[in-house]
Amino acid sequence: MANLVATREALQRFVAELPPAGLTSDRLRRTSDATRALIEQSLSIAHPDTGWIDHNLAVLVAAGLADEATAEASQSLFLGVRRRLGEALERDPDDLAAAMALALGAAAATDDERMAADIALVGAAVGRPQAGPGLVGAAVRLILAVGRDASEAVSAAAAAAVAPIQAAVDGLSLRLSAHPDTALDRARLELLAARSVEGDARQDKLDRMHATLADHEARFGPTAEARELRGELLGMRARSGGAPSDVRRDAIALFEAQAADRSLTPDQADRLIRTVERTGKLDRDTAGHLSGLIEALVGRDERRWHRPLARLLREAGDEAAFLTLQERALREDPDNGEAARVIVERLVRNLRAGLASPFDSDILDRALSAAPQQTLARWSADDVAAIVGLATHTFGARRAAHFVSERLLQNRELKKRDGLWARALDLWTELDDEDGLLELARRAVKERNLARARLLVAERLLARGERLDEADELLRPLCDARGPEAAQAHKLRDRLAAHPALRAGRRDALMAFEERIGVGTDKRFTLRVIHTTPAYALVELGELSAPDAYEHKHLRTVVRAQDLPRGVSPLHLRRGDTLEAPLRGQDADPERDKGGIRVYWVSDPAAIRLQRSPEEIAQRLDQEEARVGVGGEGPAALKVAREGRSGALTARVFAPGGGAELGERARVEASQLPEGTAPEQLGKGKRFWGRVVRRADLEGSDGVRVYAVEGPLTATPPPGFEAGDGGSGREEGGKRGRRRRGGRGGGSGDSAERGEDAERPTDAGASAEGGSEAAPVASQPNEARSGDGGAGDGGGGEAAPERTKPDQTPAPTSPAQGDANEEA
Amino acid sequence: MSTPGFETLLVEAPGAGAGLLAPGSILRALALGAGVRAEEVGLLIPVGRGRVAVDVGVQRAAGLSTPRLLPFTEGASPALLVLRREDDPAEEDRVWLELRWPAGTPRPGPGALGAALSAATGGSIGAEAIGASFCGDGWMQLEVPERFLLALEFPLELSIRGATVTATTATGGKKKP
Repeated sequence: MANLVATREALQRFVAELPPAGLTSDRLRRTSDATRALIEQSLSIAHPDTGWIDHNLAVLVAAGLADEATAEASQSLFLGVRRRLGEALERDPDDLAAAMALALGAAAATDDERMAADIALVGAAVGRPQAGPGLVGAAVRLILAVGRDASEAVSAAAAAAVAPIQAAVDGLSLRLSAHPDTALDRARLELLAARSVEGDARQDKLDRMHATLADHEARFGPTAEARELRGELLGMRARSGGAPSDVRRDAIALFEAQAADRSLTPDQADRLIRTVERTGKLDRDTAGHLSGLIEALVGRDERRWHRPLARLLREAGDEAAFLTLQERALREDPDNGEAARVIVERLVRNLRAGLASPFDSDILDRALSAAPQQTLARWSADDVAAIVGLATHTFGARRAAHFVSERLLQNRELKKRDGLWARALDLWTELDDEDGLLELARRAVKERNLARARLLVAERLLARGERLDEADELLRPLCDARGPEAAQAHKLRDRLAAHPALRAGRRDALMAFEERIGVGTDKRFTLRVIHTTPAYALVELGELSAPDAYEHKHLRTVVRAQDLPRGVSPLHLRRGDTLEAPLRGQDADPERDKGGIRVYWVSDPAAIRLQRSPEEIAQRLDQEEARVGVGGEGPAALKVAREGRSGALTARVFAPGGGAELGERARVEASQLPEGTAPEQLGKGKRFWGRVVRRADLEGSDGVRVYAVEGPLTATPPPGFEAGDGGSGREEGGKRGRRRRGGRGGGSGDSAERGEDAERPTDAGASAEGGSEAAPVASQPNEARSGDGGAGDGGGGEAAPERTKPDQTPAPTSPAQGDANEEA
Repeated sequence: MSTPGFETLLVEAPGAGAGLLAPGSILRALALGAGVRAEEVGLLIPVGRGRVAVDVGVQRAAGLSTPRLLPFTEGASPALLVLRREDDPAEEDRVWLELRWPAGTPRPGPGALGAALSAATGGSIGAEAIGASFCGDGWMQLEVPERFLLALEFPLELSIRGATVTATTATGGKKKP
């Protein structure tokens, strides 16, 4: 029933698409209306018999396809009811109207998935005794329409249908010997058979076809269909090695005969000319003769005859007439790509030879607009430069700029050339057309990722104060690179970051995010430790991704030492440890947090809950001490350095063989250094070996364990140690090595974070917050988001502060500020 | 003579349905088959058995090409009317056959009917040439090429699946002049 309703709608569309006037159209419209009423009739009856509806549909399709004026609408209807017609034919194989419609419709829609099934149905239908010449002729055309690129299934179906169709043609020839169509169908089948064989067998088939056509013409006189077939026969003979002089003679005779009775069509003329060309015998005289015949037929309809006429004029060597014809064709039809191609190729040839353009400016304009893309793709850089120069000189910079951006830079090959994009940007810059320039620059970013285009768009957007987020996105990749473009991008980004509109938008985004996840409420968030110092632990909200406006992938804050449970120091925590705490946010101070927008705090330090109990943490510390040999009999590998401000000596403690490192540093006295080593000579750190012990007597109530080196240090590795134990050369390099890895988010682990050269946070924040809350981390959009989280976090940027005294509270700090401090 | 503002068309009920020309049936058939609404129809004047003159508003009538078949449903049965003008020209190379079959026997399908007609022509006209068809109760109209008039003698009796179907030309056995 649903199919019937869909069929009714297909008929409605069909009626709407039919030409408004015409005998066939009028009749089809009336029959369609009546068939729609028939469908209404069936829809009102239970279990209707739709056989006659399907029959009428088939009649509509077949009758419509038979008339050129209604063929397009009928083909659309056919595509809509194709499956229905096939099913109707399967249900009632005697209803050959459905077979006729399938044969005619499928011949014009061969790429449908039902093609093989439809060919099989039609092949079976022609075997019915009531099949007439109309259906058999349609079936022959259907299998002729199957191209060489058809799928295997379609080719197999067509091959299988040849035999029953051949039998039907033979049967009709016997039954209706005086019917003109049967002979033509036989000739078509000979042509089909000739296509599938080679050499003599093909010539044999073509000879039989020739004889069939000759017999037909002797009996029924010259007909349009017979001549069409003869033209195909000659074309195939020329392609498959037929005697050239014979083919040429027959082709020219056919050409002359059709020209004489004015039945020659442009397509037929073109095919016959190509046939003569293939024989290699289209000489100047012949071409002149044939072009004379065509000119008598052209009249006012030169556009249709353009292709064969141009072919003949070129062969005849009449260059002036040939070019004039192309110019005329282009004037009549500005979209004539073939004429534009010829003219443009001639133009480029002239320019290469240093000659002026031989064409008027209007022809030049049309040719440049209509030249096919394949022609443009073959132009060299010099050709392009010459053409653009000519266009600029002839039409002015605006037309040339449009030509480059709308024609050349649409070309698949030419748009790969960065130089052409640069030239186009120059042209548009000269025009002082901001919108056009922006559009082109955006395309240049999209197609070629040009740094200049990125800068250009960002600069223009910033100047307008529009779409600042887009400007920021464009600059971000440039800031990661080096070179003059990167420097310019950094400057623009600084200006961008200070733009009030951008700050307001980002603040809104962050505020909305805070509200959504519950920042500012009592909700406790799970925070993951990513870095520790004696004064605080840097933590992040790992379970939720922060919006783009935030500088890190996750919201960050710090937990101060005094806010941790008694006996637990931030240094007791390890990367990946988690704790729970409620958060609140506040606007960053533009003076102190360069580029920052929002900073986050632990809103209630009393609500902090650690994942591990203090006992578990102490147990872990004991294990770590044992691993590096604290309190043991043997020495540990040390790296001794002098603290920056206090000048005190401390040592990082490593296990034998490297790898494990103690979380805290051991105290060293200058007197323990090997003989001849002064504290000033330690630089960033020197390797020594010595015994390390825990000094409980020096420990305070904050739970921080104190370690000290016992006895003198040695400069030579004791047994079981190697000279390289205790850190790598990169660590000795300190600041330089880390900075080279790219500032934010580039660290590699704890050892890097705890290096002597770690960045120094300012301590102004503690006073600002009255010392009652953990210090915040300012938010600032950061391009290095991919480096956030995991082992890479905080290694080289703001997340690696220098050890501070336990009573110091770090203040909000930004990466840029951290860098400045580091330099200091 | 037409009422001012109207054009007079003819509605015919051929075959056995000739007595069915109730005004409601005509209006329903006009609405379903030609999209003519009741308010666009003026006087309905019977002009003979099975024929009614129908006044249709001039503007609406100008968009109606004739002859036009108007299938509709009368009760639970299919019914068919023909809308035409007095001066309708004969269609080139197409004629209508009127087929009837005894009451109680099923309506012949398109395949069986096409095969029977083709066989009746001795195979000179293929079954694919059978055109559109519209059914009434116990009868139908079938469009066929004019060549059938040369190949067949009407009235013609066809035996289709045991039932006898009688075919005549819709204009009484001769092509409409």
